[in-house]
Amino acid sequence: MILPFLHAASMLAAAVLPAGEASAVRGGTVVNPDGSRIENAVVVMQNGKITAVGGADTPIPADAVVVEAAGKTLFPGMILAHTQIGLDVPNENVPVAPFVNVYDAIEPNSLEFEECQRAGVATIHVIQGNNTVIAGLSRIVKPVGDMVEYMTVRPDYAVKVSITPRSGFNRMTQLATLRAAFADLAQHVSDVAERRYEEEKKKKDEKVLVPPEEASKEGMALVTIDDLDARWRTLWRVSKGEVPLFVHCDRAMDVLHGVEWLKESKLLEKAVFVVGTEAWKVVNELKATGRPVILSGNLVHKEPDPQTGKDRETFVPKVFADAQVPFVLQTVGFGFSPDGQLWYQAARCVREGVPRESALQAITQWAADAIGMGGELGSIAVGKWGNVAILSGDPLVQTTYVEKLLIEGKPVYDRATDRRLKEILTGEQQPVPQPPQSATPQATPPAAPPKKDQ
Amino acid sequence: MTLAAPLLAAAIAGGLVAPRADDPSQHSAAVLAQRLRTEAVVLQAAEVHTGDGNVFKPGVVVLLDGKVVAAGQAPPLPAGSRVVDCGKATITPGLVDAACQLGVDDVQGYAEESSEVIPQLDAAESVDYFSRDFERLADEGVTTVYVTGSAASVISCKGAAVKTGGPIAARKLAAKACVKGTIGPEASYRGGGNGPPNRFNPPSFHNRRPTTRMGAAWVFRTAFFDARAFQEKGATSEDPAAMKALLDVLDGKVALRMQARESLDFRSAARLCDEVGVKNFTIEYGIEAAKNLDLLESRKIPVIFGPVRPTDSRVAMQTFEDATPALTTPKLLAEHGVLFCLTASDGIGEGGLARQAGLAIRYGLDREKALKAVSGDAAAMLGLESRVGRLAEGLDADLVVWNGAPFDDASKPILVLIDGQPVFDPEHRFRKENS
Repeated sequence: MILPFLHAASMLAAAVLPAGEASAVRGGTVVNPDGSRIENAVVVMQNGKITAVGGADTPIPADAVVVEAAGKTLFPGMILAHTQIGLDVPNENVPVAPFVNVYDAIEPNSLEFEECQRAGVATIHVIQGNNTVIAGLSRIVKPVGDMVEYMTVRPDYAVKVSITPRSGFNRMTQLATLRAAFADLAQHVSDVAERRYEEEKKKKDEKVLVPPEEASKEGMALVTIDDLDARWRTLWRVSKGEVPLFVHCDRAMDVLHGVEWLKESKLLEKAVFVVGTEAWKVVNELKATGRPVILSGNLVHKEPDPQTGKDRETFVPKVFADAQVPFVLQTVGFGFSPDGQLWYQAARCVREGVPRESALQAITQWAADAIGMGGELGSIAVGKWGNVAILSGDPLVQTTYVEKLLIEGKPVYDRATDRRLKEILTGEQQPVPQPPQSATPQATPPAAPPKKDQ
Repeated sequence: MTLAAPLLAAAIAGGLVAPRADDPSQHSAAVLAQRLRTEAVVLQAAEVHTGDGNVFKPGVVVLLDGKVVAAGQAPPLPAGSRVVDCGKATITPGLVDAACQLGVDDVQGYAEESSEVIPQLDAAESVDYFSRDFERLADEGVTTVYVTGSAASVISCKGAAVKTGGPIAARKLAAKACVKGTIGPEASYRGGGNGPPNRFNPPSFHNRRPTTRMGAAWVFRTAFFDARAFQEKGATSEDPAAMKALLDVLDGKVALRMQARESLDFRSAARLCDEVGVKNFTIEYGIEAAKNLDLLESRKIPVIFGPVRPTDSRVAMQTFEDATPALTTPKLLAEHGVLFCLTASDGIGEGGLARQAGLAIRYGLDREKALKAVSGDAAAMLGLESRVGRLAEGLDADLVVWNGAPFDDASKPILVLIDGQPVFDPEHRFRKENS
């Protein structure tokens, strides 16, 4: 396991550009997910953001590091909007565990992050799995760096809630546990409020002259997050609508229950739906919520007909595209199997008749929208972050490779120096790169012993 | 192109069986089938790939009575033939999978448990022509499959080459007889009930199977030894039919393929075949072929390669083998002049044969060679080169019409013909909800 570490470390070294330094990609065709194209383009990035996108005559700052990309395709860095990569175990045994944080579990040296660079993925939302009732805080990271702090794009971003029963639960226990968690939180906050009210009174040497319920009500305004038991702090923020909720609804009926619960909890505005293949049946209900929808990596819904035994098959993204509902694509696993790649999932959509622009947005702009970064990510445009994948050809053609990847304006990946890729492709072990030579002059080696026969 | 696909498919299928404008009475299925037998159909398309390396842009395929009459740029057209314009579509031969594990009973149930050496049996007896697997395979452009023996036996049964559609009487093809040997770990644990002994199943008659690679090799070696002894003495305590079948393998009348995913099984296969005196054999599922190019090249061993990283393969889930394919293996095999074809094993859909070819293309194999590896070369390895796998005069009219470049991630079959008859129903998949 030492090899990936070396690899990640060498990539980190390449990624560090001093703040304020500029970079530019020259030549190549900008292919934006909305269908717009700029031939022979120049993309200028400063302080991690894109400051200019234009034709060949766009001025490039004199101090910019220039990456030549003639004949290549420039595509926004792709986004995994919902994934468990980098986590060893996706879920806790405890059904209600909002107090945990993926920060403690992300393994920066995971090969999956390295694979992200290779696959042109620049932004990753690492969130716990679906086998839960309420899971812990997620984190948006970039696949660069050997410390989670360095990788972090948005810390403590969202929380996973599952409407679909976790293993061992049925739908009734699942929803009862979900509601009970919020009831327990309310009870805890109420107890704390009562205590805080009493403490305030004590400070002023006043007596508590109201019944506990009223004390609790009076004390509510005094409660700060630090007063709460650490177990409840995240859920308290959730209940106040401060944390986005990724709501897992595998079956169509779960979507309906989820919408109902979100409405009653007044959390619908913070929800992102993580749905299963059956969700095509409730596409209109999902559309009515106006909230982002993340589809499962398996894009085909199969339903055996009880009479004929034949599978009734539905290509899920097509239904969403036809209903004009933006959707986000995921992969099946992540890596070298075809559907472990975002671009392949998009190509599958095109194969089954989804408009190309929709398929491309589903792995970029709509994915950015789903993680609340639509203004920063998802296309190559002025003001957005400098996440640019330099591809050898069209993003949806199978022979296209990621040649280089820039994240926040910094070149982080170069296929030409990807040692492990060579190993995967050819099966031949590649030499381990040597650590860079020290700049200080080496001491002269000791003289060779004189040969005896001379 | 993609939006027009269903319309195009409907137009093509309609064109194939369109009634004559001057005679609206000729609508019945029987009449139309009769017409397909007696009238030539000419398919025109932007590209015709014949499966032997040739591409015609644009191209024409002429079909009559279930056979290909001609394929080329502008072959002479028989008088009175109907021309069906496939527009921008691409035509390839129907795909051939030379090591399929579908269309039989469940993977476990397919394992014969009465003996480890069953070369006298024929997989054709187990093929379920009514299996929905065949419909799916045909939908995806796979028109011929060789149902291979189960790896649960050390020397398994003869495989069966069958078409995935058309009249059942015509589905079985006369491929060269071939039995399969397995000396890797699968022979020691696969099977319904007779796996190795464990704390729930104490040693008994039911778990007499070899439990290690050396045990499997011993069974393999002993079987051929017994066959030689049977040849000399004319009597045996083993099943004489099995012994006769093994003698046929030694004589070369029956071919032998050796399942070898991991590198050491390649070497063992070669060593054991040398030892028992089998001159030629084929490697099946040669996942780690890239590590054995020297062996394959020097001994001219053909390889059936794949499947690569199947996502939903039940067989792959059960192997517990640590075989890792180098993704450029098909390219490397082609560069080293090794005869190879690609297989999807039990893969379908995203793990299917077209995707395996797509992966080979992604990792460096030329598109025409990839097509050959799932059509012409696969058919040749089955001894069916004069029947299927190419678009050439006299071969079966099994072909696939694609809405784009074949095996491209964004294109798919929109029409599949087996013996000149459409088997792919464009209404079948993704139609009801998506139209």
